[in-house]
Amino acid sequence: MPPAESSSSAPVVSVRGLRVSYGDRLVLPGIDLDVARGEVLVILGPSGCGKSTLLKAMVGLLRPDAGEVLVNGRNVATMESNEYDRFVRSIGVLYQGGALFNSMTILENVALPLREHTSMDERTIVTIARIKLALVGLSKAETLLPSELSGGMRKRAGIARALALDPPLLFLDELSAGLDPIIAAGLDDLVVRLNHALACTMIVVSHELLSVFSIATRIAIMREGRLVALGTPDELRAATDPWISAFVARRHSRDAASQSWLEPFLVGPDK
Amino acid sequence: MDFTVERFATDTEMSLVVRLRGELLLTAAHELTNEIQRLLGTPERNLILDFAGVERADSSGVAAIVESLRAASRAGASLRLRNLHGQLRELLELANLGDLAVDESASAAVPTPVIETIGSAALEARERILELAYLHLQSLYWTFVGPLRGRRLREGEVSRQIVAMGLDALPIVGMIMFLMGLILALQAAYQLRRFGASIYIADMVAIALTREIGPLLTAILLAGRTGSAITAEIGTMVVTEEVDALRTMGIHPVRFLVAPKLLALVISLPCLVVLADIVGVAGGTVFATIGLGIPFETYMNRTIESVYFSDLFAGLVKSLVFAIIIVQVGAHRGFRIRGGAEGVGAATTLSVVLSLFFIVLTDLIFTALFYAAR
Repeated sequence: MPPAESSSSAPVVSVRGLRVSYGDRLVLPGIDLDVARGEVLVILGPSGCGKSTLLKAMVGLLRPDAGEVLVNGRNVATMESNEYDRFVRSIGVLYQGGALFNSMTILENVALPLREHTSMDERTIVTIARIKLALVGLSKAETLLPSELSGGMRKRAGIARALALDPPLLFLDELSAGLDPIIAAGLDDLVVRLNHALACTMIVVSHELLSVFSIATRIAIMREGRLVALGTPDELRAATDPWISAFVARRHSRDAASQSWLEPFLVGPDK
Repeated sequence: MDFTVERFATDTEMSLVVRLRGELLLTAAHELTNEIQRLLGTPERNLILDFAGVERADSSGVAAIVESLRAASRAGASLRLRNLHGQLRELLELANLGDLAVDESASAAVPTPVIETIGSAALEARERILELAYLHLQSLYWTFVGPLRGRRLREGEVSRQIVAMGLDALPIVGMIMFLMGLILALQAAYQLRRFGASIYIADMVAIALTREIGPLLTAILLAGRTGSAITAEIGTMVVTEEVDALRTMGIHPVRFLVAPKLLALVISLPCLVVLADIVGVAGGTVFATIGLGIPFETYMNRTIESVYFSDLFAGLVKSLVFAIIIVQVGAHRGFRIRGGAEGVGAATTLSVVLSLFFIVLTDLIFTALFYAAR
């Protein structure tokens, strides 16, 4: 076992010079980021800035062009398939749309990782799956199919499935995107409670400012594939950078350069 | 919309001032572009558009102004806007299309050299074939070797797939093969009757069916029915990130999604082919006994005499290969989906077309080997 794992102060996830592109399109030119044990790190940024790409690279779904993602000191991209299997059993991932399997009921969805990776008997598996569903407040929906759920319920079922194997590390992609503010607030609350109750590290990707400040231990702000700010919510509120403070204050910031493309073409009395 | 064009001289240069009056809406916008084009043909290099008299404008008006600016920039002339105010100015401000000097229509139309097109197509094809080969090995591993090493397939999934792929296809396969038997008998009768050899219809129908038409037509039907379904199912799961979810749950997508289907079709397709052969012969018998009055017993005896076990067997072996082609081409296209629901539609079509191509190609190879072995 590598020494990094025994020391609790070492970062759980450590991203070093990560560079990712889709074909010719460079999405992440280079990211450095450390995630401490037990914290809720929110990766924040406007849509299309590379947040979800970063998350996919962290869980090993995308192969980086350069740089590395170390989880407990081990490089995710170069793991042998056996080691990768062990690694994914120690993480839980919530996808944007929940990514529940449509042909299975909610209970079956949550039970699937347990069936695949443990040798527990049927009754224990169902009991555990029910506990996870109760944790996210979906006890009554266990026999429903994903298509019969609302968007918020699908997200919660996705969280329950991500929690199935009690992973110490959770990745939540677009936790509250497309949900109404009340349901979104409920999910935020859920994240905070789970973080306290299960003592797991959480990496949350979001573009919703509403929730971020209430759940985050630290916030990383991304813009056009780069990390432009990293700090506690209070530090970011006090930030002086105009783009960051505009973003944090939920203002749309126009670059000075693009203020008026018309200007050079105007002439006459009005100019 | 009216235009008034005025010459206007300052100390240093001559300008043309175009005063606009009225509403800058659909047709007027077109007139404006034409007018500017005309003026750009004149020696004057300084144009000013005066909007003081413009009462109303919509996006076509905005487009006309942007187009005019573009045209002027391309012609190396200067076009300036005057008295631009209110709503029109805001609309223009929002229509920030980037560098006006760049003519997108021209840059998009640059043709790729033929050699380059052929080369990149060849590289692409090579990569697809390698991917397909890799998927092929993986799915064979997870279907036939994995279960022996304790990685069992999903419980009940194989039987569910056999019902969906095989049992549910029975009516359509049966119907089409019965009609095919009739058609074969009719075609044979047309030729053989001239030689007074109508009884050989039985040989003709039985041999054609068992050797060729039974396996081929069944596979073609299943490529359309099952292959497309596999692509659509897996493709949709890629789009909704369900395949990613499988990976990060430590469940191999090929084992979870492809292996049960492969096993199910490898079992179903040969069964369907046997049924197809029988129903086809039945179709031929119906025509021969009712249409031509050949006694049922005579026809059956000829059929049994003409069919060799090796023909039947060759047909079944072929159908195994066809089953593998249908599942793997379907799955490969599904995993490769890019670009949402539209991508699923395109991939489904391509999956069926590719399956058919590989099926016919395999059939040719088998037939050639069979011919050479005689």
